[in-house]
Amino acid sequence: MTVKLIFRKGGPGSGHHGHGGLKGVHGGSSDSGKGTSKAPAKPKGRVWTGTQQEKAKKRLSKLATGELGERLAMKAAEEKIGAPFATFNTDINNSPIDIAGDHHAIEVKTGLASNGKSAQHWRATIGEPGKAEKELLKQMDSKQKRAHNTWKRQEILKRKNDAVKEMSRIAGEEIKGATIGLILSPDGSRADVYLIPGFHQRMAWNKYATDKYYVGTYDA
Amino acid sequence: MPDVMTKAREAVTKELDKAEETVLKRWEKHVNTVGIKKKEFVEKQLPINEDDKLKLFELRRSMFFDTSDQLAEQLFTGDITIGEWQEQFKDQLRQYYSSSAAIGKGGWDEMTWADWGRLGPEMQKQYKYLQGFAEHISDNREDITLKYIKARARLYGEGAGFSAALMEAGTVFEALLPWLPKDGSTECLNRCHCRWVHTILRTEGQWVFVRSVWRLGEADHCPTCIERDGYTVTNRIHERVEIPGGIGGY
Repeated sequence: MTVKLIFRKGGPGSGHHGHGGLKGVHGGSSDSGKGTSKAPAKPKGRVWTGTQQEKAKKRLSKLATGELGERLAMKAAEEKIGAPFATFNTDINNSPIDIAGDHHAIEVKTGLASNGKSAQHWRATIGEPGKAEKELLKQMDSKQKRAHNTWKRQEILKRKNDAVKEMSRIAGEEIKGATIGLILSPDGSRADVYLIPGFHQRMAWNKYATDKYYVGTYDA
Repeated sequence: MPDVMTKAREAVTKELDKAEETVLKRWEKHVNTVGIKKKEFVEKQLPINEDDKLKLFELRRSMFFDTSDQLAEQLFTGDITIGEWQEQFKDQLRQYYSSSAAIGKGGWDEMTWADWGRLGPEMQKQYKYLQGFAEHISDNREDITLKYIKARARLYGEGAGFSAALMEAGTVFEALLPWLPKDGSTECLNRCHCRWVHTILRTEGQWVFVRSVWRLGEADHCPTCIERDGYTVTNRIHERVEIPGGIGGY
């Protein structure tokens, strides 16, 4: 009969933490003397420092930026609020909210740290017009188009708040509307996440990308 | 016959209705499957304006004094053990210092994760002092008086003003100013009622020039505070930094 002995490293109370110690400073806990885990990465700090950053060679498309932002927003929301979040805007044009979970209905807005001064903000968009609307827009002059888009922008904002009220009714608890603003590094590898109460037409980064709303910086 | 604008609005309304309907159906499904937690806490009010901070702080301090006196009496009469007293007093300290920090910041909702983090070392310091206080009571239980326990416990009430000042200062003014009220750099220690008073001098582009003047509060002053009276510092602050009207005075 063959008896196999299995050694497990790192069980509770074993003291094996997979590091080899620091030469000349203190001993390690691995059996070989060599570390089995990588040294922790140095903290990298925030992405957004208040000034425009150089554009990346390989630029992210608008779609990829949005998708990445939404994924990171879910990660941050789940971590900070401690409840599962889900996407609500799949295949919907002008969805009133993007993600939701627990007591929060959230709109996600993403921008790049390489944005020029005039684009250093998160802004409510009015989405791609539907087929019927497109046809009617063709018949409008520029003044009418502007008036229509202003009305549409306000209507979308109103609908967001209406949807949150209805969500509260369904849940039987007060649901709060909020915006998660993200500033992605130009190559899309990291992002600062900000949680701002309510929905807004425009949020300038110099006012909203501040300590008050900062949640954390996440690797994509 | 409706004009083109009305027709366009009708088209948008139809699309928004559809989007809302789909999202609400998804939400209903989410609530029924994943669920949402029932709220277990009461929403806190505020924000607090500058003029009300001091009044609110004094009110909170007198509440703390009532509790600390009560706990001292219970300890003295043997209703609670030293261990129980220490735990209950520690809990009161935590609540009181947190409230004071929130008052300094202008409201519970204004407190960020970073602010709570900044309060941590101050709390650790107070818990360490409390441990010393408990040991002193234990070592001198035969001779200690109720008056002494009450008086020493009340000193913690004075110290909380530092947590309020720390929040008012924020990381920027904390780094730029040479000292803060109640930071222990004066003979009066945590009984200091002095204050930095701010005046905005001018703005240049994204920079704001702020003058901070050390002013004596209503109290008996120690030599260092008297010496510092009128001491002026001018700093260049980025426009993104919130500039408090003053720091301290609690």
